[in-house]
Amino acid sequence: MTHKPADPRRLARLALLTAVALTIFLVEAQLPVLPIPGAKLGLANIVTVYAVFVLGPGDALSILLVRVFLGAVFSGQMSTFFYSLSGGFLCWVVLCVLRRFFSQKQIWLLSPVSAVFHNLGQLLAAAALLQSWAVFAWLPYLLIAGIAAGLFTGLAAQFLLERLEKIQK
Amino acid sequence: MKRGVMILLAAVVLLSAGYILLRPAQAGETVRVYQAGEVIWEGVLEEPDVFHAPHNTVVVEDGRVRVSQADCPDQVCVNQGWISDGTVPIVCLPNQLIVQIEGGGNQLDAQTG
Repeated sequence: MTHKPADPRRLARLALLTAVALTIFLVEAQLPVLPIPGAKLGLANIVTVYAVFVLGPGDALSILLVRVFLGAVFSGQMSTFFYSLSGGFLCWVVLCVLRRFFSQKQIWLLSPVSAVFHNLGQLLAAAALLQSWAVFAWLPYLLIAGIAAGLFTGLAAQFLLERLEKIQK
Repeated sequence: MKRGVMILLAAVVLLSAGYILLRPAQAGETVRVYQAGEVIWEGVLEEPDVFHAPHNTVVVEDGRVRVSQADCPDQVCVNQGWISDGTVPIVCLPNQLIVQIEGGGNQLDAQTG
């Protein structure tokens, strides 16, 4: 997280990963909606998990924040901004805490844990906005969907890490 | 650590699934529409009715209720279709709207039970 404003390599890598995350996010937004409100694969999370492990918490957070903001702008759904933001932020916090306890080979297992916290963050933001706890009726459904989706994106991030390591060698 | 997390995740999935499958159906006869925490409309499930909220249309018909129209881009509430008991509410996040079926008895118990 050392601050080097004039490091063009770091800047290029951040911009590239943000663009990748945003593209994945927008493509996924075109897929048909699941019957559970708020549930989705969360493919852009692959980039977050990768960034937290390879680039560190600071860079991962900047990618996440820019992606969430631009995602809301480009998809034209500003209402989803706050849910994505609070979910994404909680997810990032959990990843940053847990990364110390897990080796490179166990990253896939972190993603479902962070997905659970993403769900909680989403619902808390929704409950605050709606001023009602009624949305938590969806929690058990979201937890199952979140853990399944998290396992999928976690495995994808794991494969990505291993492949990219081979390229960089 | 790895083992612990796996057991924890499995427990969460099992508990959630168990809760979904085993909880008693929460019957109710009152339809309440909330906006930002306030009740803005109340109807009876067995009496067909249409309520035009500022951004949504709520239809009560044949003992069930749905949001038939919404002016938001995501249409999540419209796609959810009909509900006929208090298991889950219909939620329209962009318009801060909740449609819920509630019965007699303690509302708090119904939600946490």
